[in-house]
Amino acid sequence: MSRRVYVNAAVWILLLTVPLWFPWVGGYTSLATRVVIYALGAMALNLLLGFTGCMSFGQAAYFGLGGYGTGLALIHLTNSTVLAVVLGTALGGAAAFIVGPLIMHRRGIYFAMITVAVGQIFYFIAERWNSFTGGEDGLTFTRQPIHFGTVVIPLDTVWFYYFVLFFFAVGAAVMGLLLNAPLGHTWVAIRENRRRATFLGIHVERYVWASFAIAGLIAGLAGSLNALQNNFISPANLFWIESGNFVIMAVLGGMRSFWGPLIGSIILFGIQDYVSSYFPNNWELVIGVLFIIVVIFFPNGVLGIIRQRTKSA
Amino acid sequence: MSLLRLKNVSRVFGRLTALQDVDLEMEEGKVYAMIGPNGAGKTTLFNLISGFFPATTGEIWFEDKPINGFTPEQRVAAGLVRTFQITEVFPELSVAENIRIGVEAQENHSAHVWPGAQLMRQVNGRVDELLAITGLTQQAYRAVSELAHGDQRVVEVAIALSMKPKLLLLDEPTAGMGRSEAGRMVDLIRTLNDKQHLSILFVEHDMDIVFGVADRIVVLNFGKILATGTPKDIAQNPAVQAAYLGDAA
Repeated sequence: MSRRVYVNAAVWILLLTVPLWFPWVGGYTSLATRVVIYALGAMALNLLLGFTGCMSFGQAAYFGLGGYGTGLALIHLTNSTVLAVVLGTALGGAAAFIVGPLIMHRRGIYFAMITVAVGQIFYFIAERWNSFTGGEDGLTFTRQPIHFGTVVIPLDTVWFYYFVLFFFAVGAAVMGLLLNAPLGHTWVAIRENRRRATFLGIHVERYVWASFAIAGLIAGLAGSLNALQNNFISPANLFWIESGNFVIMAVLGGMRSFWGPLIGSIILFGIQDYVSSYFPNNWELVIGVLFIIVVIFFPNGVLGIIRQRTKSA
Repeated sequence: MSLLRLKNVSRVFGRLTALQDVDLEMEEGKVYAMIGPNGAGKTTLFNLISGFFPATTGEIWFEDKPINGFTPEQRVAAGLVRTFQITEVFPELSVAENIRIGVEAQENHSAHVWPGAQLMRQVNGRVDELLAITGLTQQAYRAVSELAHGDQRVVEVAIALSMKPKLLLLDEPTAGMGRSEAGRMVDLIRTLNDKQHLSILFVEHDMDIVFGVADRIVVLNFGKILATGTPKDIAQNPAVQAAYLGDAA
């Protein structure tokens, strides 16, 4: 218990002080912003993958929809960046909520395949609907400064990092509270033993649905922030390769750990940033090799190794 | 009032008739053992009662309510709770967490997202109570996968008890256990029946355990009920001796 408090405190202190220390290790603030955004998306996936035991390979659909929702809101509806985030998040969550009943009866590889298939449907819609989504070219927009009465927050690089961190905190708090509530216990029970859960009178499918919808909602939030960072959204964010990135982050960092996907995101973007400056075309090979090593030798990811070490020490 | 009643229950798998015209009536507050050679239909009957699959024909009543159309979840809610031949637990979670999942499910808290402190105290109180009943208090915070096989089976019984069963169905509760572990399970069955007045139906191969614990014995053979009665009746029943106990006697 107390250990968890220390870990959480350390994570938040490090995240809050990123602009101070990150340049010292060779990073830059907008890289940290990207790490945090994708960590949120991967943590959302991990709600399904690590804590409910359902392998979703279509999480990018809700991530991308969050981005489109936010972009379209900024273009057509509002100048409020915050409102655009709320609308984008709601779009991702609503889509996952509606898709949920289609996929909640499936298990294992079938669950994964259907999530990919549904995700690709959203991809093709975005790619073909030129007049509304901009088709392959995507949509360009501009995130607007936030007005609090007379105070104006400009959302330049450092401000935007804290803007993202605020929503990351909201998303992480929601997931943390749910996982510590009976609902979270029930999800873990389903991961551990579906048959046993059914014979405790638990309606497994409804809980899978709930997990899928909430994972979609948080993925929508991450996707919305991603679109704002780039001031751009395109079908690539809905594509299955993007879904794969979230899976890689969760597995690398540790699926059994709440913060695992954050570690995975740091590793992925760290390697992308450093290695690609030496081998611009081959950095994905390094990720691939690392992924294979982790899956074979450390199935609980980087945090799994640390946890095992500290336990036996 | 009978607790559980089966009338003309049959189950057919393709061309195989696993159970044929089974009639059975169980009284409340008693321990029933179900015996029979491999393939006699014991597990099939268990699955029919717990709703794992439906009966092909026939009817099942629980507390005088027909439960034929009940799903497994509805049967659990009605008070019919089972364990499995192969241990079914939540292996990576602690003993206390395993039981807590059951308690939360039983009290319809599984979907709570904002439990108050009072609710959690109430849940934890019930978990402690079940840990004490099953003698698992010492191991409460160990992962179930780290426990000995016998203890894992006791955890499974504890999870089942968290559902407040009226009839507890135990599928081979001592399977794969050594003597002392099996003895502990036998003691637990006795305690549950004596102190908690729980009705129990269990499948068992070890005749010492069956004759030592059961108030009534149900003998199955080739998908039919050969005999039902007290241990004494069964021991003296010539048909049972011929069909089942013959080679042991």
